[in-house]
Amino acid sequence: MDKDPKISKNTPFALLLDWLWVGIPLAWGVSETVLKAKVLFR
Amino acid sequence: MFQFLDRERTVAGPGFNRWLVPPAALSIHLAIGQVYAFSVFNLPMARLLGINHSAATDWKLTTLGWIFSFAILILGLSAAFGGKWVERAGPRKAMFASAVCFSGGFLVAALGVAMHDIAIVYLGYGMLGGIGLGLGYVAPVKTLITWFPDRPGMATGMAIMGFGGGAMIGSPLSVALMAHFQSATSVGVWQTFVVMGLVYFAFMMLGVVTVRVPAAGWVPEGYAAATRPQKLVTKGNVSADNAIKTRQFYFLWMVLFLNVTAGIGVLGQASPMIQEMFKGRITPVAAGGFVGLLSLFNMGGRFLWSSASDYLGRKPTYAIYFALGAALYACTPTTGHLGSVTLFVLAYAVIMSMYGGGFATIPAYLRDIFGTDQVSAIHGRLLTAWSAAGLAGPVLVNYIREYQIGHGVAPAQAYSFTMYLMAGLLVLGFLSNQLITEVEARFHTRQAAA
Repeated sequence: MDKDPKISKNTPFALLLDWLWVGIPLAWGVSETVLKAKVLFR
Repeated sequence: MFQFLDRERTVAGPGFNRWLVPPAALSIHLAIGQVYAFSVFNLPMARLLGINHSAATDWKLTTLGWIFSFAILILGLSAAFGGKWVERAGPRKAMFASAVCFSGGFLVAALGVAMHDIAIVYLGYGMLGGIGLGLGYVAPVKTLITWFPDRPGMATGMAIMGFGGGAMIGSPLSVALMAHFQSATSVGVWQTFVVMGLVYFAFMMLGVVTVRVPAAGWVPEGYAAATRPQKLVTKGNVSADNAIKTRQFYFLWMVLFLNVTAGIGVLGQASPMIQEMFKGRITPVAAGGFVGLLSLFNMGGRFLWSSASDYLGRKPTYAIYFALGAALYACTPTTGHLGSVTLFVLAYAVIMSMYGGGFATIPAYLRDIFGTDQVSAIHGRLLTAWSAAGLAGPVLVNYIREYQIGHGVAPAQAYSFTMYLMAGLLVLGFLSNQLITEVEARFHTRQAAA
């Protein structure tokens, strides 16, 4: 069974932190691409 | 020390929240998806010696183009040959190996750039990095499917969406780092490689540390597996070795190959194509915007179509990709003749969403046909279709285009023929998909007697 519960505490905070870890870079990349794509509609 | 990576150390305890697993998978796929943005290094790497211009002894763009092709080829091969190891080792060890190889690939390539030795760059980013790509791509697939038996399409779609999103992070990150390290004596590529290797390693470690597999027999609360047999959803399991003996595997291989070939060839031509079809109306900057828009639809389609397949069924979803894709490809020359940029862009946006959807829905399709037991290994073997399409797609499009232009066809007209050809490939894909049936019971793994 889970031998290292300290690393990933099964809490809402851990959930938020994990999603922010991947969500922030992805949101940055998407916003950069949206800015680039907007030029097409000018 | 490395016992931490063992599969038995990753079995989740009771009450573990399964929504912690998709970010673990995404941290791997968002990182390795950087490979699609590798082309941003091509021009700077073609003037490593000349700095402001390409010197005679600098690498040619054709030489540099092989780094990406080699990495994608190794991705397919390592996924195919490493898939069974991924099954045995478990997701944490496989993700760790992926992080070491992918990041190590950057560091070795940095050495190659600093020494101006292309063989070391091929070995680093192409070979070592390519192994990291292959292992990382298949590592989280089975884990996600077992955590989300109720919505396998959505779960794997989320991870594979990350692969599409990885280029959106990798491209501006690379450009910003190269601008930071640029000097009078350096274009800043090797320094960028070193930083990216270290940053991606740290980023991927989240996945390594947090990934968990469910305990044997675990099912989500309130989930009841279908008691009645569902069409094209097996209750048995087929091993990877047996899967490649079935005709279903080869029809699925064709499905992926044709879907990717039809998309990849045109994706690489998107910028010049829209400029030539709407001459004088679309500037190079606007064409760059078109490419960006296609990337967004490619990424979004991975999640949306794959999630929709949980409700529509996998076979009907692919039937939509192929039928609608073929119809849209066949219509795009008309949008060009009508001079409607909006319709042209809209058609391509939908096509690209289905191209991405085709990648993302395949793991769930494999689960339906072959069972969950060795789905990562089977997925790995099927990814050779991607490598083959990566070579065939651009070659097919470029060769036919050059042949036509060489025979006096106007550039805009040459694209029309390409689109009809792509529509034809998708019709073949439609037929391959229609031929997929359930796997015969003789290929199923026998369950040990209780």
